Amino acid sequence: MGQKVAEKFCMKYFVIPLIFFLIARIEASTTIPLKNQKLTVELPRGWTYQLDYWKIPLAFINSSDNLIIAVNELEQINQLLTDADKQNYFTHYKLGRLAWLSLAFGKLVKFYEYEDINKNPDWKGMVFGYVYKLGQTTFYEKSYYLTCKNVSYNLKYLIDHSQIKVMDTMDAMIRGLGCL
Amino acid sequence: MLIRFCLVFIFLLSASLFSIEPDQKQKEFWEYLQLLEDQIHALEQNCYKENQFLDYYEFYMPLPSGEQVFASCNQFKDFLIKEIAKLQTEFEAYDQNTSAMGPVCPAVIHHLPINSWKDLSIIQTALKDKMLADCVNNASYYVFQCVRDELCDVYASLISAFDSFVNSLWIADTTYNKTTQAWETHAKLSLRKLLNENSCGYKASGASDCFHIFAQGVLKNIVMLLDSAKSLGHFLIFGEDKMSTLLHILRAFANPVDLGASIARDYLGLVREAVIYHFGCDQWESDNFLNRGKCLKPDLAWKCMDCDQQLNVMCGLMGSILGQPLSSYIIGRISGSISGGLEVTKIASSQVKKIFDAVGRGKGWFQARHSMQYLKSKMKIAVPTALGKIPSPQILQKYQSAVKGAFEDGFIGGKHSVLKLSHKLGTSGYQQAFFVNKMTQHRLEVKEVGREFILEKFKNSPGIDAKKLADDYVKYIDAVHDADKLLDPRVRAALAKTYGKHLVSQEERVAVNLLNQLEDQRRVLYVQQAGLGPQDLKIIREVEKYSDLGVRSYGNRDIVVNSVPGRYSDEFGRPTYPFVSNDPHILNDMIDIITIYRNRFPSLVAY
Repeated sequence: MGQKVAEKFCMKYFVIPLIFFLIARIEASTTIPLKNQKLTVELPRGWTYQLDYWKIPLAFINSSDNLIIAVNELEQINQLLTDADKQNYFTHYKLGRLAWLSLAFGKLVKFYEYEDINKNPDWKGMVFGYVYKLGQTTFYEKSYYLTCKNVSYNLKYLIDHSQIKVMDTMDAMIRGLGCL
Repeated sequence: MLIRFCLVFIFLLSASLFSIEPDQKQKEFWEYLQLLEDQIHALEQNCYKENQFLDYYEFYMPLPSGEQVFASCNQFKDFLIKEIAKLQTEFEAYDQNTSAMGPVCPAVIHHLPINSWKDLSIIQTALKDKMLADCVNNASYYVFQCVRDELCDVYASLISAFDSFVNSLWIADTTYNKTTQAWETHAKLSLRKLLNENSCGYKASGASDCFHIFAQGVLKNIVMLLDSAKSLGHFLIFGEDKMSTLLHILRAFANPVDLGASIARDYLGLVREAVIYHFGCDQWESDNFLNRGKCLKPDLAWKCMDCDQQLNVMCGLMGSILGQPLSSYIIGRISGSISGGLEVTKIASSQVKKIFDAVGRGKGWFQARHSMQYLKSKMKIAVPTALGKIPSPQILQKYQSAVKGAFEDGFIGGKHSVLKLSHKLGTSGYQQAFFVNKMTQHRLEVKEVGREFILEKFKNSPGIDAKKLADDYVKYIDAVHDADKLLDPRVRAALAKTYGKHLVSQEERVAVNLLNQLEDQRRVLYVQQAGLGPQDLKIIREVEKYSDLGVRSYGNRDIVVNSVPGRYSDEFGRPTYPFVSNDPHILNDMIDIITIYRNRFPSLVAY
């Protein structure tokens, strides 16, 4: 009797959730075929992906929260960029953003310091980002330049101050990408 | 009275001189016209891509002598317009004197399928020409009297330009791609839904793409244009901007089609306003395009056209309005600095002004084409046989001196381009002149941008007289950076060699340092003489630094698209220093400086 209860208990509270968890795990890791290689991504709840979305080759979309990460393929980025090279690119990023803000009548709040991405042995690159105001709204933009097994990408997202909490989720999602 | 008498005498004298060899003169006119037309053809080959005029694209223009001149499309366009206008004036003066020819019908264009705005402009000019002559006094029927049947065909094809109106706003075009062996669907934007049956152009049908081009232009500005993988540098310059704009649109609008439609409608409305402003009236009550008041001198040709014909003038301007004016309008819309509809807010006026300016510039080109057609129609009778494509040495000489003159006249226009070529080929004397010219041009830009920036930034600052400070700034820049005061030819020659180089040699570095020293000395001297206070001096030096950086960074000069973006301009003979500031105040000042530069020197800004 006791054993049966224990079994039931086990089924109810351990096995079933485990199955769900496994299914969720399997579902979470999605493989996406792109032109030059396949990408794997763990899509958090509420996220989907779409190819050729408004001419963006690949977009990760969370429609309920109105979020998009745009992925563009680039020519291969030189893996051996020196610090000076990266600073140089960062400078051009800044100059370009200022020019865009000038067109949009925006005001700059700050640039994030550029950051190297090198923890994952497959993925290498850097991330630029900045914060600015258009009218009363503050926007946050980040632009990742990443290379995985000799294929390079730009991943970019834009959120406003009300969505600042999802920034970590999006950063984690991008940093957790894999390639096959 | 005496003067007038003399003038008449001189006029008659020159007229009789001209009449000695009328055929020779006509031959020259014809030759020159042919030459200019060839150049227009070269310009069209080089400067149009997908019906957009590439204002800032620079290319080598082959001269008939085999030489090449390096210039931007804008510069060449302006030069050709000027030359055609000059030729027309000359020819008309000559024509009046000889008056051997009666009025002649314009050349009729027989190729009816309209493939581009250029075709339309030719048709349009033919129509306008005819109407100018006949339509004022006669009933509209006689408008087509001269070459009535042909013009009727032309007219029918004009109407066909509005085919895209007949389609729905968005149509899916599904085609089978043989290479990928798959069916592909492309969305097309059409303008049909922007009209109702009372709208001008509604009933038109046929097979043309003028408005389709416009619709596609809007679409392309909204969605990405990166067809293939691009380098990091390329993406930093072009991709980042496009993605920012697109991500904003996708956030703000559930369906970008809605935005596309509303932008297309509003933009077309503004263009229409601009067309009426520039084409419909020769003189307005006020110079301000927003509050122009009443029309004092209506353009009769415009008044004569019916609504479809007027729309076709707009078609002819597609090349001018689809580039930068459109993209800045779209960014303005999504950033909320321009509201929808035709309501023009004060902040928006710089973007709206851009549209008006673009149409104004397009008009010049339009009129040049018109003159070309007009002249040809007249000369066809005067010179019945074509003289071949190789102009005589005199004509070549005339053309070359005109090219030279055009660039030397150009305030900031093209002087540096001709000199740039000379620099590559030339002697050290050329190189020095070139270097001084580059420095002068740069000084002018730094001066103007900084002056406006000071006036704007300090206009309400207590304790600072913005106007005086701006004057001091101008004097300071002139005193310190005037290249003409750089008298030592050895220094000039050494510096000239460093132009446009990222890395300079050891000896060149010495010359650059020498220039820095010289300017430092002048700086000290000037500050003593002018009695500048430390606070003023600090402001002036900062404005100098950031104007210099702004002008170097955003100037449309040496752009290397496919590698590391080398956006540098080393007018001072010194390589661009890295941009290191992280202070948002300074960076926002930088945005203001770019904005001023963009407005003050629109044809020089690369972004």
